[in-house]
Amino acid sequence: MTTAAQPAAADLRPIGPCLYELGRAPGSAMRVPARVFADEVLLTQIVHDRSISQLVNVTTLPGIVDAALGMPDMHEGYGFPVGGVAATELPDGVISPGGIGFDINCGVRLLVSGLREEDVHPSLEALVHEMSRSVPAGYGRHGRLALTREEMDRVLGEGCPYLVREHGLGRPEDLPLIESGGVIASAAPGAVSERAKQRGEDQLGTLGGGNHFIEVQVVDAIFDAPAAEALGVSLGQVTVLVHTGSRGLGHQVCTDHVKVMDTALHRYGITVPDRQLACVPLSSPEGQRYFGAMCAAVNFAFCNREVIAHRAREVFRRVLHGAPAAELRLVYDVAHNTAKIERHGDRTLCVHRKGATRAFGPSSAEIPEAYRGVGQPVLIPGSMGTASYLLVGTDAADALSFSSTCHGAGRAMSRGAAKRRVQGHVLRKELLARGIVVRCPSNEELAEEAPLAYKDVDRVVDVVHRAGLARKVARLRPIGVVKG
Amino acid sequence: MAAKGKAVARHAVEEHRGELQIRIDAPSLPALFAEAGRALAEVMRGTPLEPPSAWSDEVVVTAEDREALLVEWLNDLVFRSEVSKVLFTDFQITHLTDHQLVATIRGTRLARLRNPVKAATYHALSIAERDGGVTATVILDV
Repeated sequence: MTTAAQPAAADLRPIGPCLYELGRAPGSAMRVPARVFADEVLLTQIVHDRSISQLVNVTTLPGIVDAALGMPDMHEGYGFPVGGVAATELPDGVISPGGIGFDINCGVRLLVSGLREEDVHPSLEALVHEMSRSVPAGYGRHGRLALTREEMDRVLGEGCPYLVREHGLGRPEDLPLIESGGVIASAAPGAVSERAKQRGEDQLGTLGGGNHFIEVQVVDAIFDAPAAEALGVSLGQVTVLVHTGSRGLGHQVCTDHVKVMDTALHRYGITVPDRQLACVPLSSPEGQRYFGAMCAAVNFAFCNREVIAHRAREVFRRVLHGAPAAELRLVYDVAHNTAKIERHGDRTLCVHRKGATRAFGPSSAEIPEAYRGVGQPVLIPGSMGTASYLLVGTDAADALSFSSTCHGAGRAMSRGAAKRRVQGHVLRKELLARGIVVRCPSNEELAEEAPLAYKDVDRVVDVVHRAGLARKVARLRPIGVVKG
Repeated sequence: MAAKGKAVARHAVEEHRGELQIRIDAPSLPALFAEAGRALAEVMRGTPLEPPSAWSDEVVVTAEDREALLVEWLNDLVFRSEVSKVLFTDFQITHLTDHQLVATIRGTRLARLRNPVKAATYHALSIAERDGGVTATVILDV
């Protein structure tokens, strides 16, 4: 099989609000249509790279149902496009590590304080500086925790409840406010290789590199006052947003199992148009082993963000001299690179989300009790220096997108192109002039993540809202950035 | 960039919307694998803590075919770099078939690797004989 050619915008026909479809071509290997949530402007940006041809490749996966879906932040990746969603029906449907990616359970966590912007302004430099010292950033950096092998296996198998109970990291009241309670029961630490455990053993509580970050933010707009009140969010409030994942451990889990599946798929009569889409039935021994290892990496990532939140709480407490308003309360923690077993209608599906966020509606029994009737909080980080958004899931998204939405602004420009257009030291000054304090290892890395390298997050979130995938609740403006 | 007439291997980092693509041209397959290692080192970079080649190791990598072998070779280097905090820059390929690579690798310990590389991917992976040499492309997740 060969990779599909990139379709043009005109090949996609509008079929609903902010929804375009590329139908099954006669005689093609497509099993279902490809659908993209976008407006005309975003669609024009999306067809400039190879993301739609990658989405067409996804439509060929055995067991896929309804459609392969592209979120409005979609851009070219490897295997799945980033911002891609696909569900396969069990028991025969496949699981593909390329549908989750190397950074398993890369995700976002939002904490809120009782502080206003003016309360932290005199201490902002110190807050950002101390945060950067407490949470190591950069590739392969080691954290303050070094896990024994027994502790590692318990982190992988038992997730955040273990970390809170046995190590006093995080708080018991955090647990219901983490997707899946911070632990996936299907995790199989024994399916995680020795190499993966070695990579992860000193990385709990570290940020990593690339587009990972910690931001100190201010709530600067409320769109849905009742929902904001239910989530404990108010105008002018200081918040902290953490964006990171499973670090080297998750990367190695994906590396290990792509290799296994690349060899094994032929035994199941499967061919794929892209080797990075290697897959096997979820019910097969190889599928079960990958699923167990992937879930363990998901638990590791939940724990990583829990430790970072613990460090952020320590920093706020220390820098702001123990002021009660400086206590940070968790609003929610969401994953955006996972495959999960979910019920949608009368079907049991394996929902792959690669750069896409789960967004359950207000009637879902799987969201925290406090948020029932409101919807699952959905966190959409913008690019560095631009706004991030808090939304809530809708019940309608079940039929539209397997209850999924976008995960960020989405890249519109390569790193090289960004570096040719932006000088890091100039960007640093511009951000400072806008009242944003930045800690970043180098100006070059700063330039790679410049706002112009990303799509317009306001437009992306508007499409999500207008398409009915999630509802806007609040906008968060950064005032301090620790970049990974 | 063509391999024709070149006695030395070379590489280039090419544009990709979300990740990084490396292209390697070399007069032979062993030279191509060694150059791929140097391309990875150029992407990662870092500030050395000791003289070059102070650290050495022996590596054996196996795979389904030569394209997969290139991915597994790079992923082996990513793993060793991350765990040992070493940037590998010198590669002697002592045995190479379509299914197995044996190499001596040398490098230097670093305080910090500059750029993150999560893994080499199989997406758009290719190795082709061209103009008397060999050309490969690999996409790195960064």
